[in-house]
Amino acid sequence: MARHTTVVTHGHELQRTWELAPRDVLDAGLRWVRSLGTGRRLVALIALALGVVGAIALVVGPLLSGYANRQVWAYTAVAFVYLMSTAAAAPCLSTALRVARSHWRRPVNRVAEIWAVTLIIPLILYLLLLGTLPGTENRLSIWFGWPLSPWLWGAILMVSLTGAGYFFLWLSSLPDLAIVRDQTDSARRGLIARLAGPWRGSHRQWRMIEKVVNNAGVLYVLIYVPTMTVFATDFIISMIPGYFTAVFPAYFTISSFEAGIALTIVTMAVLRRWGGQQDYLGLEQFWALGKMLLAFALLWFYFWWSEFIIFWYGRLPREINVLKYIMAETYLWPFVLAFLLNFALPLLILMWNPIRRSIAGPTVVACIVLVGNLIDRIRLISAGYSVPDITQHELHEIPAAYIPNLLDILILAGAIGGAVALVLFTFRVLPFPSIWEVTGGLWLRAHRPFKHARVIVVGKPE
Amino acid sequence: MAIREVLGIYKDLDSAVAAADALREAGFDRAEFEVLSNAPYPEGTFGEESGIHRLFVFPLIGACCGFAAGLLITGGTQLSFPLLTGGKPLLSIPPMIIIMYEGTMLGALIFTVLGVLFESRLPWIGKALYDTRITAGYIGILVRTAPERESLAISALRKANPEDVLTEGGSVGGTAPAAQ
Repeated sequence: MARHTTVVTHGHELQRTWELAPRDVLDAGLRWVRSLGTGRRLVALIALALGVVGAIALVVGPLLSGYANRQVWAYTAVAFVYLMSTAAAAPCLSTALRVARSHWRRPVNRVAEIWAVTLIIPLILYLLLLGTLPGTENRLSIWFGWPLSPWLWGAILMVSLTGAGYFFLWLSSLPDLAIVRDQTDSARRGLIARLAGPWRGSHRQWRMIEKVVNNAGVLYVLIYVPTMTVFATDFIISMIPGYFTAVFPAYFTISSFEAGIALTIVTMAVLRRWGGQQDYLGLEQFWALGKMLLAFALLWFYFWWSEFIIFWYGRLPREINVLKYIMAETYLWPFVLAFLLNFALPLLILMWNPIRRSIAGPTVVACIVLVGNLIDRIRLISAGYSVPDITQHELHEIPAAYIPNLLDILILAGAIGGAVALVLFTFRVLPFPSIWEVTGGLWLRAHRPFKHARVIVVGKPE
Repeated sequence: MAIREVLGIYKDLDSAVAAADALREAGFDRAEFEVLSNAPYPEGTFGEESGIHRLFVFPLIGACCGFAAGLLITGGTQLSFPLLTGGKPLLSIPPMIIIMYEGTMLGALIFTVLGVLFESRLPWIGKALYDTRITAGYIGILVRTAPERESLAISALRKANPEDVLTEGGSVGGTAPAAQ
């Protein structure tokens, strides 16, 4: 029963979604699935081609070289970590919005959750990268030399995360898959029918799915955070001798959340600009996510500073060498760029109300953050993969910076292209917006006169 | 006892609610019929009471099992093959925590999947009347009742101006046939 009501028109542009009828949402979702524009097809094919080229580069480069020289694998690790920091982080945002139970999040959820479909790529990359991680005996790591660490236990984490991500996406898409199963008559129906199963939309199923989607999302976040913590230590901290820090895993995870929000905003902007989704992705969504992006940019600085200040005041030779290596000398420019693009520019741009309260402002900053996060991951992983002997207690000689070659660039571009292709192909069978979620919100809406104004009241179910 | 199914298809919400009311007036228990729709309606729209579900129990049990398995693997291994190294404690707590956490999450995940399948009765192995118009925005009222009450269900569903009424034998139409 709807107990609380919320007026959604707080003096700014009224979200067009609330003016629509449920039939409009259904038609829009089905139109999205039925009409595969040539533009969308072309982009998907280009992204797929990039993915194929990246896979070939991976075989020709690191795989044929073997695991003797870890540095060859640096950009495969960058691709893995970047996808984990962006595509794998986006569903966490969806969970946060679901838990907060806001109505504006209804069209946003699918944008964030659909990136879970790309988890297969980091899973494959991780399994390939296992050979580059030395055993944890006789070196400092989070595993204390535990048997089969880090390989088996890291792989279990990664497989769990991938499974949880696909489970979360499948659950949140299940009612819409049933709509596509019944209302389209294309060749896709076979696959969709299998995915939708015997979903009939009974009262019992609705009660179950509304609760369990939230639970699945929370479970995903609960796996994501420790996974990123473990990977931060396995791929970076334990690879750089003398890098003794307890703050870095938190920094790594928080900056991933920032990139996940940025990826969601950029995807929303693309869907709005080229996908014709202006009715569902409006100012309200961009403004709200812009505020979150600003908050996470500030958190980026907070966690970086908390770590930096300890090294700065400690001034032990090993601490000075670590600072020189990852911030002050070897990777100075990547660090400066990461600092500017992840924190300084987002703060300087989004601190202005008119910019934050726009569609273009948060979109531009989101693009900046995505580039900044990539540069930050290149800096950290290149540093981790360039130390010849990771068993020493501290860095005695500061290694040279790793400069990527063409194969490295192709591997990185291929991983990103493959992820984009997967999302675009998934959008061929998954409607946008999420029909059941947006329609479910419309049932809670009522138009009411208020003096000379007209307001829309949206119920909040308990 | 044999169970017969009757499905009323309604174009709008008001008719579907009226059909649910008509079924109750005709003496049908709430457990004898269910509402099918393509989007969730607020709880209580069709006069139904909040039911009890046990979904939260599944991840809880899974988490406990996973935690126990993790504890058994880590603690059990170290206690079964005690190797004291450099005077350090026998149980190495930090990696134990990671592996126990992994076990807990994995158990919770697996049992949540099982819970979803059980609580939503998926996959549905029994027969159930269904019509694809439901996912096109129509609302279905599915009655499961004894064979002798089938005609009573049909007449109750017809009172609310259905688009169609389906039985296991096929469509019987939204309105009663005219008397000869």
